[in-house]
Parts: sequence; structure tokens; C-alpha cells
Amino acid sequence: MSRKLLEHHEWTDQLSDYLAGELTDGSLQKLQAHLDGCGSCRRVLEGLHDVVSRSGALGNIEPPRDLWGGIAAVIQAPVTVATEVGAKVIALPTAGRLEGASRSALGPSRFTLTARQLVAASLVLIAASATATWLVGPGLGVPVTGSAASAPGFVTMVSEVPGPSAGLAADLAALEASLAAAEGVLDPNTLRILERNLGVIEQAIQDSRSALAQDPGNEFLTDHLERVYQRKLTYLRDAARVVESAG
Amino acid sequence: MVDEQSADDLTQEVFIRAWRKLDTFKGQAQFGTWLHRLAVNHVLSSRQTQRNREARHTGGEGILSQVIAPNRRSSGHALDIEGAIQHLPARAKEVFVLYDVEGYSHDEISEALSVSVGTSKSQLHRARMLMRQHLDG
Repeated sequence: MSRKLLEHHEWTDQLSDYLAGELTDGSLQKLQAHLDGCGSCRRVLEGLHDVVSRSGALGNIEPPRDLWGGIAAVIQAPVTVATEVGAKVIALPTAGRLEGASRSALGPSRFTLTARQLVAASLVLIAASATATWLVGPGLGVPVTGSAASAPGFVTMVSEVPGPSAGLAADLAALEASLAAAEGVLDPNTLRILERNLGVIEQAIQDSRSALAQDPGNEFLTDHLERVYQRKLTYLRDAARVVESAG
Repeated sequence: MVDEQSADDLTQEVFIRAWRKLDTFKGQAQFGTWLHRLAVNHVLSSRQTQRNREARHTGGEGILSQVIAPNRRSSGHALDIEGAIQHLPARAKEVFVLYDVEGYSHDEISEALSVSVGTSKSQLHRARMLMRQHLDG
């Protein structure tokens, strides 16, 4: 390697540290002085800056197909949470059980979309139960039940978490009212399944709101809560269709 | 060539792993951070298994490349840079993806990959220089 190239390496080897702002004052001044007079090293710096900005802008990779089915097939069993006082089973309705319940009562084709949403709802509960663990805190030895909303001192804080938007709240209320009015129309088994699944989603909403009350700026939880509200809306719409077809 | 099926399998495995490890989430980090770290750790450990398999058969690429597989909906610029990443040597690729794409610190990378912070920094710079050459070329 020529002496000139070695000289450039001496400078270009510092460029990543330069971009990260990690050079000491002395090194920084020397490098800047060199860059002022060296077009070759400036071009390398521009190239590295381009690489950094473009790679940082790469978006998330989305799976090309729905992967929930494969996940749901594995997580059939209830989750066991080990605590200092022993092991406790969190009675989470798993995806497979919810899906099976819907299919047995409503037939295999009518509720295909809803079943997939129920899978999603059960995955929401993954985060919700984790949130409960979080709220209990490490090392307390308190059995986790999955319902953080019932923890003492939570009511006031949770009430400060914004609910759904006005339009969404109105839609939800209208659909809930129509479902309540249809109690006599639906087969009791179907009604029980609808209520149970709505209870699952409602629990996910409550747990998400509890978590958000603890960490109001958390974008993940905010988006998560919005998605759960949307799932509830979708589920209620599907339920309304079931009522309509039964009536 | 990227294997989408393997990337899908890894994604499923990460969620199943998260489901089973929920009791280890103690709230010391945000849930999203915990899930992300769990995913990276799982991919990296899978990478070693994959490398061993590849060493027996082809000596081909590491599994981390599957995580940054080109998305069919990516823009031309994104495809360029994703393609350039595929050409990086395995260790440089890991450090580059974790630092410049995923935003991990050198301290975190050194812990995850069992390398020194200095090695992480030098591999990152090497990767960036190679990326620049590839994109310019």
C-alpha cells in the first residue's frame, strides 16, 4: 500500500467515530483541518453519511403472509407463571381455544375473519399479561392474575388515560346496545361465546389502559390500545351481522 | 438468495418464545424493548446453528441476512441498501444491522455478540466502508 493511501486510511478510519461525535477535541480539530484540504476524504465522509442515513431509514420488514395461525397452533396450553410463592396458572383464553369455540358454535365459514381477529385478541393478552407482571414489580412474590386494573391505587390513574375517540366510542356504544337488545334472538350458546370473547377483549383494553397509566408516553402501548379498540369494533360488527342473520 | 420461509419461521418462533418467557419480563425495560431484544437474541442464536449447518453443506451466508430480507414493497433506494447489506461479511453485517439499522449501542452489541466494544466499532466502520463502495459501484 502506498504511503499516500496509508495516510488517507489514518483519516478515514476516524470517520465513523467522527459521525458518532466520539472524537476527542484534539483529534476532531486535526481531522477537520485535514478534511478542509482533502477532497478524497470528504467524499468518503459523504458516502459514509449517506450509508448511515439510508440504513437508518430502512422500514420494518412485514411478513408476506399471516403468521398467527402457526403461532396459535403452538401456544395452546395455559401460561404458567412462576412466582416466589409458587406457580400460578394465568387463565388466558388461548388462540386455539377461542378459535375452536367460535367454529363449533358458528360454523366453519361464517366466522373465518372473526376467528383470526380472536387470535389477534389473544395475542393482545400476551402483552396485557406481561403488563400485569410489570405492574406487580420484580421480586414481590405476588401471584399474577392478569388483571392489573384491579390493583389498589390504579383507578384514578387509569381514568386519566384517554379512551377511544368520540366517533369510535359512539360506534362501540351503539353496537353494544344492539347486541344487548338481541339477547332473546341469539342461541344461548352463541350469546355466551360472544360475551366471553368480548370479555377477553375488554380485559385487554383494561390491562392496556392500566399499563398506559403507568407509562403515559409509551407509543407502543398507545398504538396497542388503539388496535384493541379497533378489534373490539370489528368484533362487535361481526357479532351484529350474526344477530342480523339470526333475526 | 434470501429464504423468506426461514424468516417467517423465525418470526413465529420469536412470538412463541415471548409467550413462554413472559414471566421473565420484570418491567425494567419497556415491553417493546424487551420483545425486540428477545427477537435479536433469538435470531443471533439461530444464526450460530445455521452457520454450523451451512459450514457442513455450503459455507454460505449467515441467518441474519434473512431478517433484513428485501421486502417486495421496498423502494428502489431501500432495495439498493438491502442488496448491499447482503454482500457484507457475516460479522460486519451483524454489527452493521444491529447498530445502523436497529439502533443498538456498541455496548449492547458487544454483549450480544461476545466481542469487545473496539471490535464492534471497527466492524461497523469496515461495514460502512464496504457499503459505500458497493453503493458507489
